Amino acid sequence: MSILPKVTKYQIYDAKNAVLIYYLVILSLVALVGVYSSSTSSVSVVDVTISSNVNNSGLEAPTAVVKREQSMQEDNSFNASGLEGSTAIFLFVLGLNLFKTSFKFLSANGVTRRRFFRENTLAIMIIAALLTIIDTIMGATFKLLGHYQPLYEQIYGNITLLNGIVWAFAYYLAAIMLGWFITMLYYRSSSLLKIVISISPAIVFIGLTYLNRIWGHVFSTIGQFFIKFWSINNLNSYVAARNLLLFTVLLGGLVFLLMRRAPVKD
Amino acid sequence: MGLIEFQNVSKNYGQVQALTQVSLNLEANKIYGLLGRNGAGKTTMLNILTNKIFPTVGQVLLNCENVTENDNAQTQMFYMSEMNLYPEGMRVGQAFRWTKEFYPNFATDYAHSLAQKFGLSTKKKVKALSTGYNSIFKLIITLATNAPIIIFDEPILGLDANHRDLFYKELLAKYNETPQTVIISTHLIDEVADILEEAIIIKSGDIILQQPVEQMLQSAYTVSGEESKVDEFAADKKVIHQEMLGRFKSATIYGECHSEERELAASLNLDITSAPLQKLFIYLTN
Repeated sequence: MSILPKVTKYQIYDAKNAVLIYYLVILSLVALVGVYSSSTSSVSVVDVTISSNVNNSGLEAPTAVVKREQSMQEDNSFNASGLEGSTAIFLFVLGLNLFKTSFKFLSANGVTRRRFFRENTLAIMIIAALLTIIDTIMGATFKLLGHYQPLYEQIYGNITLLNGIVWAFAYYLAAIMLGWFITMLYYRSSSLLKIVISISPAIVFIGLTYLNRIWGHVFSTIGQFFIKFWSINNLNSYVAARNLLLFTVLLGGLVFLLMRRAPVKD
Repeated sequence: MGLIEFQNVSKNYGQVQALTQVSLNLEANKIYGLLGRNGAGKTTMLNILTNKIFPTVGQVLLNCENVTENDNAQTQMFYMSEMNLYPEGMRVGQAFRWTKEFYPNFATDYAHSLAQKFGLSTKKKVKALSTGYNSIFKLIITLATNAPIIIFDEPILGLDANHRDLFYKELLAKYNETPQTVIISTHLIDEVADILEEAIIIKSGDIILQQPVEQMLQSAYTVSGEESKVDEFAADKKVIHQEMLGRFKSATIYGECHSEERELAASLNLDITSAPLQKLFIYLTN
């Protein structure tokens, strides 16, 4: 830890508890589902999708939503999937919480904005890499215990582990950077602009619906863009990872511009 | 050329001009008092110096380097801000440990001994501290950083008389042991007057005076005695403050006290003493 830049070290320290709580809840849920599936009288398959909730303190509490349970004969294992999706949501929320308090504290300790940006970027890369490794190990363990399919396998089929790791890392990095970008956007905005940003998704949706009525094909074009972005048509996880990294770099550039002249506010 | 130089610094908040072309030189290893009324621009000056906000025009130099977004310059200074910049969940002891990460000369043992003297529990969370203890917590960190430049913004906010006295004693003891450049921003003048070497008076975003405190105090004096005699003495002089106590009166007079004034006062059986800095400050800023 001591070789890390100070801001990176502080940010990882700051995120440590949230990450521990997140995985503790995930493991508890998996254990609960495991016990549940093996104790039911009729042997069952439980399809679990893991999603995240955000509580008041900004920590993420994942919850398991049991989508369906169906009786099956001669199979006492469970199907779990979607850990990467849950981790991405967790990282997005972590990104939302990784700026304001830290920025104030670090600026009290003589840290400039550029240094914060540089060393915080390193911190989020390390966090994304660590969570990729943890999820890969957990995924492999779940596979040994039952039926587990990582998100990238659900999208791209049976790709290599390395492909999966690269994709998950890019996915996590984009999620945390998106959180940081949104929190920066709010930080730099006036009260009025904050309201505009908050309602903008609804305005954009209404606008797109209107345009779709006039021109048609608006939603299908957007759908096509997302299919290409995630490379679902070609089933090429590397293309998706590249696009996600480019998206992260773009967001990083915008974050830098927003941070460059950010005042320290109480 | 000083250690810290403000060069034509202006700061606007929308239509409001908080600082107007401030130029100022501060030398190393002196205790400065930045004095001004509420909203005079003291905190704005310090926030610009410590990179919390940006000047609209002008620049601030530290050892001839622009301080804005300058890592080297910023780590030379520690600023006890009025703002609450510490995470609420952080404990006092944790704050000490993290400050040492960023200020390697931070004296942890000294910080703990100060905490004990002030009766501050290092296990308490920052958010659980009262206003007074929040000030004490920030004072201790600032004193213990051992940064070459330490800056206090309203350091005695919420402190009781005992704690204020302890703070001044500790500050002076520290300064005598290892001289640092100390900037104290306050509008409570009387208490800090004794420890300041130089006073900078700011009024409505303008620096109106920068002088050694001794020299500043020579620009006014207080004469006291029987009312009629005080009135006679002060007849042709600029009285900036007067007080009555029964038949006795004291008047603070703006201007140097020369030998003629001393002789006249002696002949009228009046006492002459130094003027309180606060009275002078009120006169200058009104």
